Amino acid sequence: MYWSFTTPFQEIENIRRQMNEVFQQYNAQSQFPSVNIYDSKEAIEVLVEVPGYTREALDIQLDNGVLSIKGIDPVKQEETDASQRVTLRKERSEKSFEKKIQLTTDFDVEALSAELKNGLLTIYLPKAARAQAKRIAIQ
Amino acid sequence: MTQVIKREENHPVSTTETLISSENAHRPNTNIYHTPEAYIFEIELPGVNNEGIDLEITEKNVLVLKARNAYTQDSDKKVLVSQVKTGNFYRAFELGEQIDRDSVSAQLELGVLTVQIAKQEKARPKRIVVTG
Repeated sequence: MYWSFTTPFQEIENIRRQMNEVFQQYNAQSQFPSVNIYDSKEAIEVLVEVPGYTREALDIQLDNGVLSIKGIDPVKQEETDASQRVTLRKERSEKSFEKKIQLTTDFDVEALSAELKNGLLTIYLPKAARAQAKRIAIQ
Repeated sequence: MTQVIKREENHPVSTTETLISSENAHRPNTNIYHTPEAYIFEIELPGVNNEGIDLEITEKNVLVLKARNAYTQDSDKKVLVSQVKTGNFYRAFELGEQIDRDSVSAQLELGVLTVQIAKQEKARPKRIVVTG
């Protein structure tokens, strides 16, 4: 029998790495930023975590049932002279992102709205009248 | 210089009465910079407003941040996806001896808390003029 000198830990590490690669391929874009999606009778509500992004740095589009949210690099190099500022730790995402969410319901496109508050973006997508659940009265 | 990042603590010894324990709190993403005059912390706190932040520098010079997200969801909505952080945030950084405790400012903007802590005069770089 072939005896491998890899330890169990190395095997686990290998599996972990392979899984990460798979996730990165399929999921990288969808991991950031974090979202909540709510479904109520009248609307779909999408909440997006975008700390540091200004209104101008965000772009929202609804096209053929696909909601697309784009953000442009949030970390602003402020008043501080950049050459004097040394980074000690960098955890905040600085990448621009594009997130696409496939939504199926028909929306009332005239009544779409969005609000940015404390680094949370709320997108409100009212359902079209024909897509709303309707109680049917029995005669 | 780099002691700020090397000695980050999850359980600062000096705060025994933590209202928010670090175990059940989110650890907010933080950028740390330093300039010749100050340390600058940028801490991501989406959904948190001014009232939800409790920031202190302990007697042992540990910067302790506790924050609470005001966001709650209506129960009549069906949740399809839930990734956004809700509830408590906690982070603590040991700052070392060379900070000026009396010269600290904090500002919350767009869900990012920026804390600026001045260095003591003796900790700042000094230019030496060559004479003769």
